[in-house]
Amino acid sequence: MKNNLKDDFPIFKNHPELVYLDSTATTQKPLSVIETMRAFLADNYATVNRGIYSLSYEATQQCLQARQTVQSFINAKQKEEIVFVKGTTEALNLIAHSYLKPVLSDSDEILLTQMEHHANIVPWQQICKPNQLKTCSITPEGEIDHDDFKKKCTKNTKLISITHVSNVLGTINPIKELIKIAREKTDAVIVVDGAQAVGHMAVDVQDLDCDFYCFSAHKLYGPTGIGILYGKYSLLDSMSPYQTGGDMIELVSFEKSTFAKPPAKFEAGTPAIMEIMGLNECIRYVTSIGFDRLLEIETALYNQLLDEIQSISGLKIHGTSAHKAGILSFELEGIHPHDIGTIMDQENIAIRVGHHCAQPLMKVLAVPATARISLGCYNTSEDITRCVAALKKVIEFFR
Amino acid sequence: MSLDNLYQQMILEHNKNPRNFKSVDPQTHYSHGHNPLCGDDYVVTLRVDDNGIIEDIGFTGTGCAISKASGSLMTETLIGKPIAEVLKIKDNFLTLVTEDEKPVESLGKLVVFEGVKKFPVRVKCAALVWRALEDALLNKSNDHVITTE
Repeated sequence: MKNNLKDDFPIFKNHPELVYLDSTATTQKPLSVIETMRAFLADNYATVNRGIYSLSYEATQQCLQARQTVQSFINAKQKEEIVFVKGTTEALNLIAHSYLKPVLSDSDEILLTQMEHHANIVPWQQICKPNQLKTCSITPEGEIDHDDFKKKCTKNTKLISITHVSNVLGTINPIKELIKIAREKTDAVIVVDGAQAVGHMAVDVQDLDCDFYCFSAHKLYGPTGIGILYGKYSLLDSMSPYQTGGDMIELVSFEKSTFAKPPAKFEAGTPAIMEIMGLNECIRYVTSIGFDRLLEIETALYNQLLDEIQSISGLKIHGTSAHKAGILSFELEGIHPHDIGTIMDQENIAIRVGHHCAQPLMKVLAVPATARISLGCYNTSEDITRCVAALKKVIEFFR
Repeated sequence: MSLDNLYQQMILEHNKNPRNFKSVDPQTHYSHGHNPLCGDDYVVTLRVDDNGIIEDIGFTGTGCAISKASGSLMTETLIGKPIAEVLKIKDNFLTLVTEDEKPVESLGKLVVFEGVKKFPVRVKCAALVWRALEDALLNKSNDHVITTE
């Protein structure tokens, strides 16, 4: 099947030779997202929530629409459960400060997994003592070890935070199943880091039964600087604000202030209006293609990659689960990932090398760094063929 | 910019067979150089005699071809030289890999690293062991741990 989605992305007209295989870091943007944001700035720009004049009223309506778009995209119960934040990192920090910090006691435990990104480690670490942070092991295939997960879910577990898809291993974690286990054994609040999931699969927060779900638009073919914190309304309502200022208050006097209800309570200051419109458009773009087609494209390319890459000697893949998104981390025996990255770059192939913001996972895998190929909807069969050919060049060069 | 310019044959050969890839024992100076973003990680150890001459120098650790070859050629060049001259070579080397003008003095074999400056993201790889050397000799850090990021 020919993949013509590449034509939707202007970057490939500007760089016809580019093979972009770093979509896990950030995705390229379709013209419709770029054009939506340009048109708002050029033709209709105004602030929101101050709707006396019509331009501002229109902008406010569009942001409201975006919130509803996100609500239906992840099937949240109500639009007030959708909070605009800068990205997944800010969402996780918000939960740590506004939810966990005020309720955390010394006997409580926080449960993470060994495959978490720094953004899903450090915010928790900042508010707890080292012995309160527990990590669930992963199997040699790069899956969450269910026995260890069961063991570490205890009556003291206050919060569990797990990535939906690993940015290094590519594993799609069985979140629904894990949450079921956790609900039986704990009263913990459950957070899902969805940064790597939303671009690859349909997400239904009610079906998953998570308490919080976080993601960024820029990994979903949208702009940077905007992301979503989903939280069950009763939880959001019980939490104190993260930042304070304009837009998040009811009444202010010099003696005291009262705060607005969620989501406004968590959205201090003028929001990233242009980016919110970009987010709305990227969801419309992805939804119009449909996850069935996206999955079909990605699966075909991933299988081709896996098939062709096996012919390379001394190549070790990290993350061999049967349930994977289009992410492939690997080592080439005797060749440092940075040398791989530089040579691939000379062939116009953009891959990621390094620790992928998952240093604890690198330690578990016992590697200093890996090289990573990750797929987006614009990749083609030719991209894979050129990538594998370039890897063979790397080997010729160094061996 | 051609790859052969970055990965000169000599660099590839020193990457495969690094010289002085060892910890010096007994040692008088050491420093740990680490680039957390890419994972390059080396310890540079030296024994300096009473006259300020580098009697022995070695490096151990892991990293890319550029950083490893840099450690190999650095130690090979510096053995037997007085500290004052070593520091001058160090400054010249860092000029070679970062500045547009050529260093004032000839660097001998070390000129194979000249191509690195055309690959800005790789300059830190070449510089890492030299920054560790500088730290070992001049106590630039409090705890002898440095990074070039």
